[in-house]
Amino acid sequence: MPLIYVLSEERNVIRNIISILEKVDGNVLRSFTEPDELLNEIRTKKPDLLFVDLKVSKGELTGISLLDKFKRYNYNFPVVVVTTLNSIEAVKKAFQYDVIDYISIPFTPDEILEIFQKAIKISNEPTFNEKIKELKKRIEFMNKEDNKDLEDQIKSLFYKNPSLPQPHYLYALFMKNKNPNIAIKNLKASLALDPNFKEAKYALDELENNK
Amino acid sequence: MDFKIPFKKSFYYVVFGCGRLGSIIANELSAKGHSVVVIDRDEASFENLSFDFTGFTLIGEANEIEQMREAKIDKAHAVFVLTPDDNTNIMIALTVKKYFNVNNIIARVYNPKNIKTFAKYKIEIVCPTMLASNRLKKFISKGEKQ
Amino acid sequence: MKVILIGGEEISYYLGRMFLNRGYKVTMVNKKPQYCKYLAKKLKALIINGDGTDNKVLEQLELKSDDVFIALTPRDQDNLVACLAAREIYKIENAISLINDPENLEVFEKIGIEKTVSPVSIMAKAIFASSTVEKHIKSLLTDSSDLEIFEIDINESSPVSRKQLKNIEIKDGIIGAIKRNNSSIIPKGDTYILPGDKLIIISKKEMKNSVYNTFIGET
Repeated sequence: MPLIYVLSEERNVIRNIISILEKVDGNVLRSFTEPDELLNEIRTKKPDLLFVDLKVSKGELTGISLLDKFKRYNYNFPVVVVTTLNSIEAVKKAFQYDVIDYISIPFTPDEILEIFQKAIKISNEPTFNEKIKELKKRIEFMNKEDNKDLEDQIKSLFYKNPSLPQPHYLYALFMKNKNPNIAIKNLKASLALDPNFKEAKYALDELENNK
Repeated sequence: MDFKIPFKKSFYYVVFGCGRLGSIIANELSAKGHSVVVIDRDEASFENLSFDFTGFTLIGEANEIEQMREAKIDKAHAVFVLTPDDNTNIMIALTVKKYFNVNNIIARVYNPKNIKTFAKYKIEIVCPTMLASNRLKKFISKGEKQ
Repeated sequence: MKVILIGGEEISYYLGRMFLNRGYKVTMVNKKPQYCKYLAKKLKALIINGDGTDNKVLEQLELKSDDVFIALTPRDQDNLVACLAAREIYKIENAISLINDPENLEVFEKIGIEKTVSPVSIMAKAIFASSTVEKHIKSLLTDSSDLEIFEIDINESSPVSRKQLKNIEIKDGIIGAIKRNNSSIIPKGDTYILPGDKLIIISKKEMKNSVYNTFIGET
């Protein structure tokens, strides 16, 4: 059941979004006019999608400073910003905080529904760590011949996260038996990105001792 | 002429003119749970909208193309053209139809002579003068029969 | 054949005077009684007081299909309706509309009124053609392709003056060559751009303006 929060000081913005999305079966909607209330609620329960009106401003908290907080707290639920057409600068800024999309007032039901579908797809995707765990398990139990798909998935993880150590580590595990030299190279790359990556260290020691 | 209002899910409507007629239509569409945008050059006209109106309002010259773009008119399921000026209505309706390719349009005209112009472009109209005169004509013929 | 001028003040007066001097028959329609009196005093034209978008008034004009019909009111919607009536009811081919808001040029064309004049866009074109921006730029290739090759003069005030190429961000365009002191340089990332340089730039047509901004500054 998707949980959706809407933050805006404007009644029309809130009521429009709610009336469009409450027609989708299973959606649970909650609206906030105060950023503080929203933050409290998020601490108890994270939404599957959050709409933030960039115009919101209460004391120190503004639309943008909220986005900044979300990023610092590592909140990874999808956020969509709501804005008027003539505030393109604010939207540009918002995108620095990884919002998934923006919507300009006045918006149409179809625009809201499209964004909703996009957000739900994103929040259903396994997180990076879940994905790593899953692939690691598959490498452990892989059979000898047919693991082209597994290799592709590890590689796509590379492209999506070129600066993270885990994909290199996974690829090393994958290649360990086939080609130890490539495995060692990848483990070194992984450790270069994160010198404290223990699993990579162990694997590297093990491979080099076997040589 | 195929002006129809689809009412199953939320639709997006644009209303030009927020006078007596425009505000009634905007309130009605909003009350039925649809998204509505009303455009009028006079901010005070929005006071005609009810407290429960949940749509958006835009202040500006209704026939300006920039204004129509801001209203996302190309995404409208239907457009109501209800400013008090016939020529403005003709231009808005033709612009919506020919420039933005939206076909579901209804416009008000006061001067019955303008009905022809709209008919040529297949735009549905409502003409208060004709509505009243037809009604009154029926009244007269009823009186003659008695 | 006669010339019909609908609405407008000074502009209709000057146009009317010009056509009369060239020997044409001129009919002028104006909403304002005061202005009609003035026109009647000054010009030997047939002056009619009334709304030139109203069929009742148009009926009085004895319009023929070879007449020239010019709508000059300050409201585009009135010009549109007058021209539509002239064309649809009186089959006048030469129905010409003044366009006040240049954005409406395309709208009128789509509706089917193709003969239009927009003073604002004419002036804008003239201003841009003579503005400092264009003085610095010579277009080398303008064909139908979506590419544009042009030359930009760099002076001291250019935002890229004395900068290295690698520190300049160009969207959808490249600096193909630099002309400096009668010789040419094929630039690399560490090449500096100097005042007095002529840059040969290749860019996508639609990016031309952003390229101007990069090299000449906000205009």
